[in-house]
Amino acid sequence: MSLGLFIEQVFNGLQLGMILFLMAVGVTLTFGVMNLINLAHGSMLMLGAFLIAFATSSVKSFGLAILLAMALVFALSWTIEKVLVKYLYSKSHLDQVLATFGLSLFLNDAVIMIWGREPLFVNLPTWLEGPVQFTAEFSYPLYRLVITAVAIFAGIVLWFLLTKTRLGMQIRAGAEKREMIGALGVNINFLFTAVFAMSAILAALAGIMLGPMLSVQSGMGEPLLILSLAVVVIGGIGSLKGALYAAILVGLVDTLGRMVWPNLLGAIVGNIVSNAAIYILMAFVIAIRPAGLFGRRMG
Amino acid sequence: MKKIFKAGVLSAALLMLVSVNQVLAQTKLKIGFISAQSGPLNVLGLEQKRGFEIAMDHLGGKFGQTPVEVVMADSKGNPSATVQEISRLIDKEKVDLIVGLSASNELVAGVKPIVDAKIFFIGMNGGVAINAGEQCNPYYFNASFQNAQLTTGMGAFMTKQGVKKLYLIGADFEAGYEHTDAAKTGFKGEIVAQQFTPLTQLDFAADIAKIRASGADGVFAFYPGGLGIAFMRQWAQAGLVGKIPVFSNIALTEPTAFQAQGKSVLGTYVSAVYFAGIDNPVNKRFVQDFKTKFGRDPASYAGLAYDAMMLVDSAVKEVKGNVKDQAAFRAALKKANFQSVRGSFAFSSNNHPIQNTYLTVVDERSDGSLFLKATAIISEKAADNFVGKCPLK
Repeated sequence: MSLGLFIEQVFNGLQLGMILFLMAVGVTLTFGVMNLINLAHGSMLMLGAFLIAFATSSVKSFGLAILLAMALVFALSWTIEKVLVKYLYSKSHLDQVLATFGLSLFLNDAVIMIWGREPLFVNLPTWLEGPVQFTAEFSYPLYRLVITAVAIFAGIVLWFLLTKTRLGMQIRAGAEKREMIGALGVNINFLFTAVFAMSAILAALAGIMLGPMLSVQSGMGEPLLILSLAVVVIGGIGSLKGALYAAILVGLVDTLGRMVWPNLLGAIVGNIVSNAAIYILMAFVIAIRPAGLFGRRMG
Repeated sequence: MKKIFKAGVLSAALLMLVSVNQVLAQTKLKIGFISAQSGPLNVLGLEQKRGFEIAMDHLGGKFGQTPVEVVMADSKGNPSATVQEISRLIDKEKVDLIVGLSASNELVAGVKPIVDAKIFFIGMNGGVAINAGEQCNPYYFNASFQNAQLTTGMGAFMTKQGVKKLYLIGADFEAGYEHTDAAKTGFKGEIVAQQFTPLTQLDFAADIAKIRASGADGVFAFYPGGLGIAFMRQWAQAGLVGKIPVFSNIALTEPTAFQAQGKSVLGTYVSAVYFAGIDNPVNKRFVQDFKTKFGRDPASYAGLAYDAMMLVDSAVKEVKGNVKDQAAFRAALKKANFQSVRGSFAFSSNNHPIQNTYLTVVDERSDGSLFLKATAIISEKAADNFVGKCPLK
């Protein structure tokens, strides 16, 4: 394995990790703050991808299209919280799983009704196409660099929002002690809606950025939701720090594993191990630290 | 009281439905059309459905004098959904025959329950080796191609194009194994790797990096439908178009994918058993009507589905709608007495086609749209490689 390939795969792993982080933040926040298990979170990623496809076909500027798509997701998720999700907070986890799974099926079919079953495509502006040549031998797709940069930027904005603003303080307090924040007279309904919409926007941002690389189709968020659930379990349910570290860990384990295992174990076994590596890691973490790497002790 | 009344009305309605069904059963032929209309390979299944629709338009919804009732099923590109939908078609819908299936893993799981129920099945997309060889069956016909039949010949062609170090990559299911294996035959250089990625994986960054680092000077990639679109887009984003040539069969790049893949596939060589440019009157009519209805050239999945329905039509006509006479119906299918969009078509003893395979290249029309241009015939009126292993006569 050459150094160039290793660096490239680390880049790929970081990029996957940051996408997973954007997804996992929403999963872990809605659980931490609202005690809600949200299986419709993958649909928010899908909506982001579909809406960027819609927006790029109706507005010329790519930046404007991104803003339009995010505004639409914001409005949609706000409505969904007000109409459906807010009634789920007091229900059991099983009810939440059933209801949000139903919501994801509804949204998957809704996009089929609107845009059809054929995959859609998002065309990149030409200045985002092609690779960046670092050295004579080492080049890397520009768009993937942009994705990583945007995800890191979103992470910084989120960090600022959570640590430096009043709303962020309330959210963190809610994640720590849900009952107390209500007792202190914070408008808990508004807080919950805001957290849900913020989570949805982060997932949609991931979808917006993946749109031009993958084929945009109904149900595209589910594989990533499964991975981000693994991330949240590894990092510790409810922990933001855990989500960040676990996302990067999972991204690197998956990407580097696909290169390392086939070399060590041969093509067939290596392939199987690399496809299962994340779940092996998850089982390992649960066995040693049942609450996850950064999770608080349950009970 | 109200409840009893409701129940009474409901059961009366149900009884009427049942009796109507029985009356219809004597005159109508009920066929199940199953294809992967959702999931990772839905591009295939939806295109098959379009070809099927054009065929039913041309046939006026009838096989000869026999009206046809169609039951749609979605196999989702996954074996367990396939088996579920097939048992629904057989046990609940009680169809007379089944056509379709998209992905090879669906065929592996789905053919057996159909033929075990002694119902005829006409496959519309790549048949797997085992069903063409040892486990060929008198109830199973495949009107499209055998996987290896489509790809054999690409190995020799890649050698001719100067490829010395070949990287084989494909989706992790039967078709992936069979097509990459078939691409090796006739190739006279070094095989750098033969790698498979999960069907649900759409991000190929790690794999593309491996290909570049391997020093390969040619790639054979088997990625059908949405997978091929994602792979070629990322291949272009990595700046490898024009640096390392990609070879494949028609699954990678077709009219279903052209718009999304854009110029990144221009000049890509793929093998084909059907493409829109095949020159005969039947195909011209099919392509014309497909274009009018859907606004672009048909992909192979549509053409092959169209052919399968024309085959069924010819056989049902010959037995005058009486498919219950299975020996006669089988003999009628075997004759393949229909005008194929592929021109020449016949069945070999394993009920898989004897046909031409072509070498085609993605070319550009003056209006900028892409199309497949035939550059050579790879093999003429050839059977697949497994016919010798099939005990059927």
